[in-house]
Amino acid sequence: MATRIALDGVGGQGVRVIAGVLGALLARMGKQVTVLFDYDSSVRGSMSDAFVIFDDAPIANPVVEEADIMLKLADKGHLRISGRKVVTDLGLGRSGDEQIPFAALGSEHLGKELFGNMIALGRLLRLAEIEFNDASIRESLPRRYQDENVAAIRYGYELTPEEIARLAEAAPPSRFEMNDAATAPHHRETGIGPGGAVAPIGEAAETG
Amino acid sequence: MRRLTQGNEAVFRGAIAAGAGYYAGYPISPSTEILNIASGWAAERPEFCFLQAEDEIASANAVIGASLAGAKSFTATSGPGFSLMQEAIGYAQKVGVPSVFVDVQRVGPATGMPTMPGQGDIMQVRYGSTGDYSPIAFYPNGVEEAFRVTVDAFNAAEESLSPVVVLSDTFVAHLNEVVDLDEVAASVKVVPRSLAPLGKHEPGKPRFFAGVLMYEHGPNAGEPATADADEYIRQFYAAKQRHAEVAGRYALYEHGWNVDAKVLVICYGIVSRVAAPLAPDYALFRPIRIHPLLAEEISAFADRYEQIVCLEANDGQYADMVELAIHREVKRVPLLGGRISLEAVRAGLDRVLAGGSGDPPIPPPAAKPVERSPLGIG
Repeated sequence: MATRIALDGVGGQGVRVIAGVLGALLARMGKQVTVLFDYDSSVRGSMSDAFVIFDDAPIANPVVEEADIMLKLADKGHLRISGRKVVTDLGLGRSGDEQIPFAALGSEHLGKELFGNMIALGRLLRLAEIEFNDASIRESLPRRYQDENVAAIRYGYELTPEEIARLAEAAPPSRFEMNDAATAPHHRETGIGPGGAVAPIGEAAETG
Repeated sequence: MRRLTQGNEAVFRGAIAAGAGYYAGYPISPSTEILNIASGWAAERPEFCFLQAEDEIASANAVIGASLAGAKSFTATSGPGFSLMQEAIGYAQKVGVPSVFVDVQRVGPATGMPTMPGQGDIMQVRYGSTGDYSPIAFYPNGVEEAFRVTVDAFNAAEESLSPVVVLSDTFVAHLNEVVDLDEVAASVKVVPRSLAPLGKHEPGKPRFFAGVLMYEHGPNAGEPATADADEYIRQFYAAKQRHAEVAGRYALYEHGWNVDAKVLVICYGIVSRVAAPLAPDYALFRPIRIHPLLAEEISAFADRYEQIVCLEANDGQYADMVELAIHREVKRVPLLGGRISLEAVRAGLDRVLAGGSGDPPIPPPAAKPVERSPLGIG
């Protein structure tokens, strides 16, 4: 049975990194995986979406039209597909089934709001019923900030419904800085050129 | 190693496996990763040459120059850049230059919808340059196949002495799948370089590079033949026959899904993936060698089905060719504006099989600001 995951955010939040690490991890686990990224020149503050599907059987259609799990990290996200379980960053205009202050948690527990994307990945692993395997996760992550990223993923993975409810009540709105940057002019950092190359998944990309 | 690999990367790796030694290009979404990977590859391997040219015209001509100089060469672009390359492609057809052109399609015409997937260049591949020629082109629908058909394209280019096209689209290009390309590479056969570099004369094999018709043999060899219809006809049919013979070695297609269904669906590239959930109810014909048309194969299969429907992300370009070839109606479901979704496919099929038009209903003008949907859903 395929699990379909849609990620919706803006460039700079790590949508591509979440999808890439998740895809690499699933591949290491021997799953069939497809990861479909949008526009190759997605840049800071502009649209960034990804579809991840995994299954034990080969995957025919890599396009997600109804997600089992949908993660939204920005108000300026662009996907207009439905999700059976929608997880949003706390403080977005659109609420989901679950609101978690990813950016605030990243800042609070790991010193940088951007680690919030790995906390979100941890929550995705839990919701998608993917086993937390420290070694496989490390192999799927870039070397830089690996300990912090593993800690962030573990934190997100171990969040309980009660803790999530408590955080949603107690925590201040949590908006990734990039979410606000979405109104900035597009393409102020061109994605073209060697620096804009899409790194092989799970290799050179930074997440911290 | 088995790992997630992107469609564009697979095209590049296929080119390398086929022996490519030269890449020239100009960045354009959604093909840019191929250029990026090529530049990184060249930085680490002095034997591989890379040029980021000033535009697509220069890129295409550099590829041809490199081929004449002895290298298996290629470029990658998208529809607008492919348009700029057409003059060079016509030249390469005339002069007989083995080379590979990758066109990763987006929604046109012109800049159109640069982030959205399309299939609008089917006819541009076939008829984009001036004069008559019979191009060979492939169109994969997944990552491993992108690798394989790129190798096929290089091989067919060497065998046919012509520019061969690999078509792709935004979704195939940006799709990541788990493959072991090292293992695939070990299983492919590579046709060696067919022509000696320019300047190394081979007796009995004169070559001319001006682009005008020249006598290649006989008492007038080396003289212009620009007003000699007989010579034109000799050379035209020699090339046409050569291309047909080579294309025949690569008659790649997929016939599947429910082969006993009443309706045959023809689709290719990413549309064939998106439409795959239709498998229980329809038969599929998926051309992988998209040019020249697989006319005999399609004719033979078409006889088994009551209706034929072509699903494509253009306004019926492949359907036109099929209809002309098999002399019977081919219904069309155009998936336009990047809306390549199962929902759009089902809706179009429902309309067309109920006897209506496959065209989508024209939406009313937006009453409020619309959200963009980069992945083509909605």
